[in-house]
Amino acid sequence: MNKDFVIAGKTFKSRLIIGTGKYKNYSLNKKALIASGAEIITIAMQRVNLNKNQEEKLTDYISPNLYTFLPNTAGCFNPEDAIRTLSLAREIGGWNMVKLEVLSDKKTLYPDMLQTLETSEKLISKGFKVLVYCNDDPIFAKKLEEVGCSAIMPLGSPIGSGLGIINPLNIKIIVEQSKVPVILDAGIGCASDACFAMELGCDGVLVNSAISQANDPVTMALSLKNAVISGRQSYLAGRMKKNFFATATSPTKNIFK
Amino acid sequence: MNKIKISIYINGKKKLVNTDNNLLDILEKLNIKNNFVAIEVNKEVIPKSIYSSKKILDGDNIEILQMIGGG
Repeated sequence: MNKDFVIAGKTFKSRLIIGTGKYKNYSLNKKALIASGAEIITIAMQRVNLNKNQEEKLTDYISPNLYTFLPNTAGCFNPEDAIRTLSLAREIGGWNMVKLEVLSDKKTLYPDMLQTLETSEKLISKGFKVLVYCNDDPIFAKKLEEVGCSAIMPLGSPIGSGLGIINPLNIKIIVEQSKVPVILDAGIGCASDACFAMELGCDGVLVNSAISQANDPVTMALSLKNAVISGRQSYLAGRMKKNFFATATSPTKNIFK
Repeated sequence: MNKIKISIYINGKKKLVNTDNNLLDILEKLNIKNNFVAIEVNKEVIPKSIYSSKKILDGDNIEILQMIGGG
């Protein structure tokens, strides 16, 4: 059934969420966002540069009145920093729906799952709706759902790697066991990766680098939009059964001898 | 008569400000519009509604953050 894409009680038309990092400039970011059809964008928090506080800002190009802003905790390696960051973001825009990531290792940017679980619980108790970046680990994914996370966001492969979905089996297991939306986060490198994620049954896909690092980000954004729609339709249509050997598609009887 | 100055830290940098400054004064002095920033004083998030009544004390550690692009 083509159920609506509902996160934390809010319904969205687009199942593609895009990040706003690493674009050449915010103008290009905006063009790619429009091409992607996404309604949700992730944002990060950073100290104001006191010497350059007149430089262009994200909100000069992308309005929080038109798009749902999803603050993240990029660069946070412990619960305190993550909660602090999201509390500050909430003060800016009143955003309760957040993307949590508590990292453990600078080289791989893999999440620290114990701290992610602990932080999720704390944020939920403070009224946040937590979309949680996590490993492609079905056991931890279930624990995150049980503590009340609003969406599970397993990585396909390391953040910014563009390696696609390394462990489709685990993603499939997470999809089948989850009662909250599963959004594939991290690792998407091109349209076929996003399409595959949706064919595995993911409810949505979060993409940043695949768009911002493409030679033509606007065209890649459009391509990802189509891939997500196509992958969703393919999932809903239900793929044929795989066979080891050939099965003729043309008649095999009453052919001349 | 010169006003008494106090030293505070804003985003890690030491600044001298007048002793009767509130948070809104500080933002104005730094030419920062307050609609898309959030402020912590000594690790406590300060609601925008009290910027104008929030007095700044000697040694206060102020963090002013904004949104930027991120994934």
